Amino acid sequence: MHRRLTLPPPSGGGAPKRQRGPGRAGFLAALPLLLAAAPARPSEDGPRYRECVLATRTAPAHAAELAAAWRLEGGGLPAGHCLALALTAQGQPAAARAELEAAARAAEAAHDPLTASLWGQAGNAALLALDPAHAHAHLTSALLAGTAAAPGERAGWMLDRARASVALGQNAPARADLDAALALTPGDPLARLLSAALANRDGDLPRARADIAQAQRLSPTDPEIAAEAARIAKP
Amino acid sequence: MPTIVFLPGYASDMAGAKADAIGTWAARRSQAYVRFDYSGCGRSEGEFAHGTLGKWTADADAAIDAVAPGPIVLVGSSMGGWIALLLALARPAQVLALVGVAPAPDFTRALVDTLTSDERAHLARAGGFERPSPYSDTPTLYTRSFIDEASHHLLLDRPIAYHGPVRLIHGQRDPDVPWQLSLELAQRLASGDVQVALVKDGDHRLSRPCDLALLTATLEALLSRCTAD
Repeated sequence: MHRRLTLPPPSGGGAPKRQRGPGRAGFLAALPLLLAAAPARPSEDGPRYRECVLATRTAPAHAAELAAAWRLEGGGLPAGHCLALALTAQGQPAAARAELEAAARAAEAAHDPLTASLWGQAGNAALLALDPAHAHAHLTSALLAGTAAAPGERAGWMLDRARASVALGQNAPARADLDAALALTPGDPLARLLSAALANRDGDLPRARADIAQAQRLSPTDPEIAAEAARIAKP
Repeated sequence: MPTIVFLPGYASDMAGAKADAIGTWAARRSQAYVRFDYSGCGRSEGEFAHGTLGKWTADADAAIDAVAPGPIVLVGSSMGGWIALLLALARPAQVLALVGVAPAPDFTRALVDTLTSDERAHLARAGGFERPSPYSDTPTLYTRSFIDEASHHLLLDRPIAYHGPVRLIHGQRDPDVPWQLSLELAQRLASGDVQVALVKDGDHRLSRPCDLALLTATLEALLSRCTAD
């Protein structure tokens, strides 16, 4: 099993918050911070990796130094992954994306089972870096490499790729990804929310209303969902 | 119910009076309780001289993952209070509350400020120095690598973004960590639910029966508060 680690917001403070939903400025404004999925093998989830990942949360600059030094000593994938987490925590998602892409390519060459997850994280970092072209490419790689991944994980990549598509002005492929994600995880309020927001953009009001009502049923207290419901209800 | 996790102080271990007292209290109320030794300390393998704050925080993180993956209440004694704060910042959702007993965040800063010229010379030449310990027959070792590494984890120069309940207990006759540090820590914490108990005739260890009773009573009140929420 992957040990999932969620990051605190780059500014620090408060509980790690998974930002989400289309938000005011559209699909790319607020994004899930999902960089996670620590390498799974015991040799890689060792004390040094743990120390480095912990430091990304309380002392990210120190974590980046630890990871960089470790990588020079041949730290490989876990060192690169920790460096990417440290860069994200320091508000450098573009640099993190590049690290994760390199890690994913290395994993792919080694037929490593973490390949798909690393592509997915690279795609997520690209979204954070407002780089939808890279995001779309990386998430496509994740979906191709991770055909056997858990439904929830595949659905997450689809949702992220849908965001990338919308940012690239391609609503039709975004709709296809959202529908595929909904088929995998019909009870995910975030998938319903994104689907409602896209339907609203596309002028499909009946679909938008149905999806947002379903999202509200699934997560009645979510402020993002409430905000989108208000936007859809507006005459 | 959360699990209580005890974090020992520098060069200390899980067999001290406070850890034992919590153990007795926890057993009586069927309260889950975890204590452990950092690498190179107590019964854990490894070289004490290779220990750093980052490594020992990672040890605690690993222990928590292994045996207490759910909600936890951290009790940190002296340096363990520093580690408790780092863990609370790293896993805020999991750490329901925090208790510091003579907490010593940033203690290396005062340590460096009070070095004798002899100690300074040892630190530079040999990479460490020893100080006689009032609590042990063997002197306490401080390494340059520990002091240098700890400088990356200093907390008191900015607000500490933990929002859960915090209880600090500090003896006003503490010769090692001045009680004023607990007031400074209380001020730095973002949480509004912070209480400091000062024990006027208390020392650094706070291990007299009356001190231990205060500690377990503090935990008792905190737990009923945690479950009431």
